[in-house]
Amino acid sequence: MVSPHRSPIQSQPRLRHRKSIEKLRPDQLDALRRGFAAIKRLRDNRGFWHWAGLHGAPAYDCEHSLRSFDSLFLPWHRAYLYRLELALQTQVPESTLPWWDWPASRATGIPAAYSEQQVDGADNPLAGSDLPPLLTERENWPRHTSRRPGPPSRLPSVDLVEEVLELRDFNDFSLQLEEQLHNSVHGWVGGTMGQIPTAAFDPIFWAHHTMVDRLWSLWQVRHSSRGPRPDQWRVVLRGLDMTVGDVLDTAALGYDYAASTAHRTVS
Amino acid sequence: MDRYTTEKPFEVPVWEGQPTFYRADLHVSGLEHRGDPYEGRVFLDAPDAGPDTSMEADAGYAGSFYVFGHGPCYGDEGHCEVPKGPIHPFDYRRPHGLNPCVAVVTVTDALRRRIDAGAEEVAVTIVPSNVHDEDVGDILHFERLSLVTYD
Repeated sequence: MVSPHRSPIQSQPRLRHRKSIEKLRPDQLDALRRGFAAIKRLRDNRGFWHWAGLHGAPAYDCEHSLRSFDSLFLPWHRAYLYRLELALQTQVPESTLPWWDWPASRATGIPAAYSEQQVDGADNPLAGSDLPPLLTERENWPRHTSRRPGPPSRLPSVDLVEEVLELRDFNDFSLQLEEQLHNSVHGWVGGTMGQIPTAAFDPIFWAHHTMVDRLWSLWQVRHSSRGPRPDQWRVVLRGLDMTVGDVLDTAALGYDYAASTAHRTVS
Repeated sequence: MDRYTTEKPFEVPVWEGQPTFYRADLHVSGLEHRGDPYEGRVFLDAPDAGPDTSMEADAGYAGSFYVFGHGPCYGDEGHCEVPKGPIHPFDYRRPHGLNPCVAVVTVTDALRRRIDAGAEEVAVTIVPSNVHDEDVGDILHFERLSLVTYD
């Protein structure tokens, strides 16, 4: 498990709840925007280009299409989201990654938080990003992320999501989640999101993958299973300084996807 | 290729006209994922299916697989050439990112419908397209198609 690097006399921090992008309060959406704007200004290994470049060009550390029946797709991306969220919170402590509820977008398409080009007279940092020199050096390559979304009705339905969640075998679940849901949404957004080397440079990538991570979390609860086989738990996730075992429990990483919570303080 | 149809149909696993499986998957093995993203639409006994064919059961549509493509090569010369085998026994590097993959499409309901219609064998057609129903050209490349059933 992840070492918390925390003094034993410090109290246990509260879990952060990752919420649907459609359900963020204005102050939470503002914090997310400020977080993305801040890391996009950084050109070093704290910045957006560094983290986006781990997934595709130039690092290609993601686990897409490598091991179809024995995949580290879900653990790798859980660690990846965690590291990006820490990078955001280093700049804006109250920022938290939201998830993109694809079935809820089947009427409207890309959520407004990611599609509005301007917010309060300034560029919306969630609408896109500049691409780094490696991806723009040839004459006809675009300098900025792009999208070419399909009809909203082609986003995954509730029934399809439910069908995948019902699969009991983890490798079966992981493969269907990756190929039927995850891949189709990358293709649905199109443009920068449609290609492995560039996808993570589009800010909506992070909400898309947070939804994927949420579905793994829901599957874990529904089937009372962690997922990956124990002999995989010591496998190091490339580029992220974490193992598969480190990411099996979202609470150990300080977050969850609870639909609602209620607390009573004992005096 | 820009579409594929089995030259020789698959025999349908039935016993006295009833399916002998509870689940049927199509495995598309050795699948290339070099180019743009696309959707491989799978049809049973619909050899004339194309990008504009309805994705409904009565048109023979059985399901889709989705390829998350690599797009153009953003590396230097040789970056996208897949090496053959490890250099030596202590080569712990993971496989090249462009190694072909496997896509799995569950076609249980569609295959049952063909059996209900009296079919004893089925032809499989794969039509690559995208979310805009466009013809995406010569993008479908794979080595083997398998019909895998579980009883």
